[in-house]
Order: sequence, then C-alpha cells, then structure tokens
Amino acid sequence: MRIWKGFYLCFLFFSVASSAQTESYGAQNQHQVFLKYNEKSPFMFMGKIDTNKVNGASGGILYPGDNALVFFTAVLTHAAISGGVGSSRMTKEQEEANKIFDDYQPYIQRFNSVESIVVSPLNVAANNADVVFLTDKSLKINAQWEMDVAPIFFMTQNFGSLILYNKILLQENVLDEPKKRKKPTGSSRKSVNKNERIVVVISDPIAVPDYRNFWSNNEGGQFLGTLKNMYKESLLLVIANRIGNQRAEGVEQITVRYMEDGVKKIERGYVISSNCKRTLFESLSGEIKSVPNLDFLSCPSSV
Amino acid sequence: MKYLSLLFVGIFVLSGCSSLPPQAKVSTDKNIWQSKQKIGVYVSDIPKVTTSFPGASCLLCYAAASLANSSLTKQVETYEAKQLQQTKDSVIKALQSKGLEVVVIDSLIKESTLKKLSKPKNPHVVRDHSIYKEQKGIDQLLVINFYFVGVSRAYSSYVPTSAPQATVNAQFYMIDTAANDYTLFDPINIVRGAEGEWDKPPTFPGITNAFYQAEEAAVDQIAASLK
Repeated sequence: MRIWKGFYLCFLFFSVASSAQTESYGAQNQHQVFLKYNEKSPFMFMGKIDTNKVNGASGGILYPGDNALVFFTAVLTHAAISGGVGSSRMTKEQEEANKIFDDYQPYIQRFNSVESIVVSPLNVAANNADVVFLTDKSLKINAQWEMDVAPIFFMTQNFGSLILYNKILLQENVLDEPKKRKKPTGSSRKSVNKNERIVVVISDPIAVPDYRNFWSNNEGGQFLGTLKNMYKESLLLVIANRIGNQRAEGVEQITVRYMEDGVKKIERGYVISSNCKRTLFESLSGEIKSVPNLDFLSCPSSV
Repeated sequence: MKYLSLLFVGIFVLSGCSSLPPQAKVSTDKNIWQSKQKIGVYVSDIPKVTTSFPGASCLLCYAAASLANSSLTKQVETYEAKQLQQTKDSVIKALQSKGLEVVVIDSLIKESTLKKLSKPKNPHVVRDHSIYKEQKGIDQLLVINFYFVGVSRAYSSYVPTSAPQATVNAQFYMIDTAANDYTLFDPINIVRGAEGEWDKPPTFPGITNAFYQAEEAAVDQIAASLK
C-alpha cells in the first residue's frame, strides 16, 4: 500500500513538474490519458433495488430502475457521503438493498485501496495509451487527454450479477503549438472538447447455482477480479475510442436480450459490436452497455 | 307482494351472476400435445399500436387526455410489434414440431350464433363448439385474439392517476370441441412500466423499452403455454 502511494506521489510530482515545461508537453503526452479519481472513496457500492418487488408493493408507482436516473441518484448520494453530509438522501429501499454487500465489506475495503485503481495491463490494451492515475480531482492538468470517472458498482438482490455504472468524462485539451506561444509558462489549454458517457458493464453469468458463495471464491479473488475487469473494460471502451459516438451511421434500433441476475432482460438499443458471449450496444438513453448474451454459458471459452 | 317477489327474483339473479368465479388458468395436459389431434388455430390481426386512456370516460375528458399525451401517442404509434405479428407463424411451427396437424382458421364463427349448451360442463363455456369438429374435423380450437397493444394511462376524468404503461391484452385459450371445455386458458394481460422517469419526450426511451419488454413477455407467455 505504502509503495503504491509513494508511486503515486512520485507520479503526481512528475506530472505537475512536467506541466510547467510547456515546450514539449503536448507531443510527449499525446498517448497519455490522465485519470482523476477520488482517493477517499474511489468506488461506490450499492445494492440494486428489485424494481419488480418495489413497484408491485407500491401499486405501480415508479421507482428508479436500472438506468441513468438511478445512476445520478447514486452519484448524488456518493457526493453527499464524500462531502460528509451522511446518507440522509438514501431511501429506505436503497438502504435495504445495500445490505447485499454486507458479507463482502472486507473485499470492498481491499478494492477501494490504491492498488486496485491501477489496472496494470491497461497500458498495453488501450492501444498504447498510458493511463496516469491522479488522486487530486482539483488538479489542473496540462495535457491533451484527461478523464474524470464516477464508478458505482451495483449487485442484484439474488447475487447473480455485478453491474458497473461508470460516468466517464473524457476531455480533450487542444494545446497551442509551442512556437506560437507568446508566454512559455502557464496553462497552454486553448479550447476544450468534452465527451461524457455513462458506461454500463454487466458481469458474466454465473454457471454455479450458489451465487452468494461464488463471489467469495479464492478468498474474494473472484469478487475482486470481476470488479477489476469490469472497471478496466469501462475505461478501455472510452479510452480506445477517444470519442463519444461509437456506433456506425444507419444502425437500426433493435431489441437486445441479455442475462442479468440469472434472468433474461430486454432493452432496445443500437448494437456496436457483438460476439458469442457479449454484446456492446448504445441504449436509448445514450449509455454504452456491455452485456452478456443469453447463450453466454454455451459459448466456447476461447471467445 | 307481487313487487316483493320480483325484487327477490332480481336479487337472486344478480347474486347468481356475481357469484360466478372468474375462469382460472388452465394449463394444457401434455397428453394433448402427444396425441394425434387436429388443432384449429385462429390468431387475430394485431390492432394498431396506440395509446389508451381508461377512466377518461367523458368525451371531453378523453379529448383532454389525448391532447395532454399527444407527443407520447406520436411516439407510441411509431412502434412496430413485429414479434407479435409473427405469432401465427410461430404458433403453427410450434404445434407442427410436435407432430400435430394444424388447420389455420381465418375467422371464427360468431359466438352468439353457436348453439347454447343445455348442460355446460364449464359455466364459462356455454356455447357448443362442436360445429368446428363437424365442419373442419378440428379436435381443439386454439384462439389468440389481440384486442389492445400499446400504452395505456389510467385517468379519473381529467386527472391522470398513473404513469403510462406498456400493455398487451389478448384472449388466449384452447377449447376441446367435443367436450366444450377449456384445455388451455391463459389470458394475456401484460403491463410494463418504464424503469425510471418515463416523461422524456420526444423519444420516451423508458416507455419504448417497456413496450418491447411487454411484447417479448407476451411472446414468451404464448411459447411457454405451447411447450
């Protein structure tokens, strides 16, 4: 843990120091993406409210479901907790749903530690895009690409799926040509392009009947590994494309069927890519969703 | 005295009507699927996908509800119930795959023109369906009659009392034409609300998802009953 923190401080120092040397900065960082996160609680964990039960009990009054709305509610809650306000904004249903993570608190604490933030193979997989992780969200970055993330993990009430909602802001800073600059120091940002997306990743279906104990396999290794892979996938989806729009022109809206919590889910959307195991699509609300197909478990493991 | 006895008769008749319990769900005996019976299949056309405002009962109330939900109606009427439109084909395929002989029926004989049964086995089947056996040799008459596909929103006169909900309603039953009793009774009453906020014009993504979820649920219900 200390080693990693030391590593970060060095990186932070290096990043800040190098930002003052403006002459070669843009070219040097063309492939770097600076990712900011909240050091105190980088990841939030919430139980997914069973909307069928809640809506049924309330006579059809609609509660937030598994979409952008619940995400933003969660973000507000997250912000409230981070700001020391407490959990007063949480509904009773949400508090009840959150108990799903009670058994996994030791793993969550491990995951919220610094070493989990850095996903080691990320650099290679993201087409040579180095990802530099920064703990200070208020830091002004003098680089071409910077990213702000708000990841929230949900678990379904049957323990069947983990669902990551990651609100990712990818910002492109257009830098001045060094020769044209009048002043050699200070911020070199000229204009900014911002792309904000919510990326949703649903974990693979579980082949064993005992969902609850499945996550505790390998002393929580199963749980932690899944979280890490999902988080990595959400970042890569945005980093690899560097842009907001991923689907091709003229793609037709279709019904996408996928597995969540051991049951079939239906959603309309625009398919971006698909293989035997998983489908990537853009939802009608504009979220990018990576979901397991219905016949996931019958696919060859090599896919 | 005469009026009093009439009143008693009236009460007796009315209480008799209200005491008839609704028809319970009937699942098909697997032996029917394994037999070599001839199945007549009637599947109605899918009605135009649109909105409905039950409870907005007066003419002016309905006009007000229609106006208030005009952008929703415009969106809903773009939905294509493609899966439901394939119901007839998929039902025929499902039955044929069991080795059953299928006769497609384009229109049902008007119920009120069928003979009344003197001693109905099932109080919900009071007409004699043996004419299908006599005319077409059908042992079992399978009916899927869609009467609403779209989005409904409950009103109390001028005031909406619920969020819009995707709805698929259909009769779905099978009658043994000799026994005049249900061998399948599984009415389709699918209702799906939007997950999260529904009021997002012009495309109403929550309602759109709910509509296609309802359509899929109806298709799944039919498929499950024919397994």
